[in-house]
Order: sequence, then C-alpha cells, then structure tokens
Amino acid sequence: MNCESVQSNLVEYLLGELDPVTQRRVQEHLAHNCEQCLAELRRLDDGVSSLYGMFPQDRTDQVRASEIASNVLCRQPFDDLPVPAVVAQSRPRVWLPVAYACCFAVGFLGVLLVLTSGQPQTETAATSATIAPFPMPRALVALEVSAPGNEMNMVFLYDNTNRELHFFGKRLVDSHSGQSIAITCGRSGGETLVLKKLHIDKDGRCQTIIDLSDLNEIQEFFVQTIPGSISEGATLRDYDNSQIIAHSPFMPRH
Amino acid sequence: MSNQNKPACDCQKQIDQTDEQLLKRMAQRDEIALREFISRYAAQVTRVCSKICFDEHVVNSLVSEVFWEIWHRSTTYDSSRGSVRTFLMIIARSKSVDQRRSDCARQRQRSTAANSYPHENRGIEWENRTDDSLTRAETASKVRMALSGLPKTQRRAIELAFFDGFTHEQVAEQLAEPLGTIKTRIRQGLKKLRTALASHERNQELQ
Repeated sequence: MNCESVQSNLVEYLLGELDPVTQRRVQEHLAHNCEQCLAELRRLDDGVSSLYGMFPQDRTDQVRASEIASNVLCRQPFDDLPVPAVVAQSRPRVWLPVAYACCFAVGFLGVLLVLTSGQPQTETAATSATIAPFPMPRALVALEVSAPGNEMNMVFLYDNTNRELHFFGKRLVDSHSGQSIAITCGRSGGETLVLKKLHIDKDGRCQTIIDLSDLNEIQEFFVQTIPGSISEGATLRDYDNSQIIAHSPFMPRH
Repeated sequence: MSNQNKPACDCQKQIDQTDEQLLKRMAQRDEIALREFISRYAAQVTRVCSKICFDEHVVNSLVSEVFWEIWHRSTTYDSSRGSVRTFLMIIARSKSVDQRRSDCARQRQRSTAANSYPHENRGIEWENRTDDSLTRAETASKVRMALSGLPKTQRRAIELAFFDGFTHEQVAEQLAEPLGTIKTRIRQGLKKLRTALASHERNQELQ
C-alpha cells in the first residue's frame, strides 16, 4: 500500500472503521516508520482531538468520579449492556458483506441455541446440553441465530485483529429474563472450557466480549443454557441477507 | 504533619501525570490512576455522549461503559494509533452511536409509522429541544462556532462522521458524493480544525 492510499484511509483507521485487511495493511505501513504518513496521522489525530476538544474538559468532582469508578470496578462484565446496533438490524452494515465473504471463504458452520423455559436459574457448571459448535473463523464474521417460538437472536462477531469474540444475545420477548447462559469453547482433545456465564437482564438481553488471545487451541464454540435444554426449530441465518444457512440441531463439523 | 500532607502530594502527582502514564498504570490495575483518569475526562466524555444521545440516564450509563472499556482495554492501547484522548473520544463516539442506533431500531419496531432514521434533522432536533440544559446548549454553540470556520461541504461531512456516527461510505451515500471526495473533505476539515485551534490558542496566549 503506498503513502497516498494509506493517508486516504487514516481517518477511518483512527475511528477503527476499516475492514480488517485494510486495517492490517495500514498498520504494517505505519510500522515501517513512514515519516510522512506518521506525520499525517499525528495531524489528523490532533484534528480529531481538536474536534472533541471543543467540549470543555473541566475536572469532574470527586463524588461523580468516585461513582463512575465504582461502576467500573464493581461491574459484572457486560451483564447489562445495551444491545448493539448489529443486533438491532437498524441499517445495512457496509462491512458485513466483507465479513461474510471472509466467513464463507473460510467456511464455518454451526451454532447452537439452547433455551430453558420455566426452569429455576442455578449457577452450576454448564450442562452437556450444548450444540452448535462452529469452526473458529479466521476473519470477522457475523451470524445470527434465531429460534422461532422462543424468539431469541444471537450474534457472534470474531475480531481477528484483536482476537476477541463478541457475543450479543437479544430476546424479543422477556419471558426468559433472569436466566443464565454460558459460552463454552471446545479445545483439541475434547476438553471444554466455560469462557463466560452471562445473566440475561430484565429486558432479555446479554452481551459480552471474550478475549481469546491466550486461547490458541480453541476449535469450537458452544452456547448453552444453565441448566440446558435443546431448543427446537432454531435456525442459523446469514445476518446480512437473512437467508437460512442451517436448521438445528447443528452438528459438529469435523 | 507529613502524613497529612501525603495525600495532597499524591493527588498532585496524579494530576501531573500524562494520559499515557495514567493508562500504563491502569493497565497494571492501578485504581488510583483510574480515578484520576475519570476525574480528568468524565465531563468531556459526558458531553460527547450527550451530543449523540439525549437521554440523561442513558448518557450516565454510557459514561461508565466508556471508562469500563478503557479500563479493560488499557493493556492493548497502541500509541501509534493515536493519542489517549482520541482513543477515549472515539470509544465514547462509538458507544453512543451504537446506543442510538439500537434505540432507533427499537422505536421502529414499535411504530410502523416510523420510516426514517433521524439523522438528517439532527441539527433542527438539537435546536428545538426544550429540555436542553445550559451546558448542552453551550456545547452545541461552541461546536457550531468552531465548525463554522470550515467550508460547508467539509463541515457537513465531519458532522455526519463524528456526531452522527456514519461511516465514510455512508456519508458519501448520504451526500451523494464519491467516497474519495468525502475522505478528502474530512481529512482537510480535520487538519483545518487543528490549525484553527492552534492559532486560537496562540492568540489567547498573546492576550
């Protein structure tokens, strides 16, 4: 990538809005200490800083600062974050076609949605009622699982740059609020590991980002309820064009 | 006596640290650094979020989310990608935009009559709100004044990209202009803002 191309992409680079491939190319170019591009990056960074610097930067009083700090330090990870736009399907996402192109090129499949209804919530370890493993994608992917009847949507996004798995769950009905689900990964040798347990909030939503940087051996992901039961009639949909990719139960792909 | 003075000294020490130093300490889970960072930036983050989301409760929740994310991402901050302040403000922008899109989507689900995404009238919406606080109005006025020095085309592109959360491609679509033109306008606009601000600061120093 030459300097001109890099510089034309620098604002989006700062905003984190480039597709993963371009992002990496820009990053590589800058890593070679191209003075001209680094200087342009600094100028644009100053520009963004100036733009937001128009908002007065007065110090926050101690009470308010302590309140925010307590929220940050005491917070259970992602247990009540708002549902992100990608779940809401509010507008077409320009990166999704790219994401799907990568995703289909690599070939992935399978996710399982399991829901329990009316069962008391427990904090026991995840049960064996899991399904829907899918091979670890090699690029940003997005997929949606919806289960008619229980009307739950889930989206996984795998950010290959930061090695993070983003998971969003949204229920259109709140009859399952208060329950928990677990995201589990399968590793080579059949070992499974509960990556995160999520509490579904009163609005029927849950969300998390899982750092996978230390988990090189992950082969599959599972979603399961605690305690689990297999959801009938779940479908795996292409998030972009809503076409059904597969019906449940999703079998492991070897 | 010396013990009594110690907290004040520590406090001054925190205030004197650069953003990068604070972030480095936050990466080591230093809660005092987190508190100082919040004191330094909570007001500004609140204003950025308020520019995009109007509900006070939502904004309060977003501010905590932004600092939560900074706290957990402090280990991965890459200074080559920009300053700490830009990093923070971009997270605030991104969170607020996601929240607003989500709210819009929910609203659309509830009302079949809703047939547009209320971006185009953001300026009008902003001015017509009757419950604006003085701070909000002042902020809006400052932003407008600073942006007013830019050519209209650059200003509109920047507003759409930074305050309405459009991607560059969406801005191009919205303004019916080629993507390359939009990229150039935003870049040029940001650089002009930087120059204008530097010049403004120099004038203030001279006065």
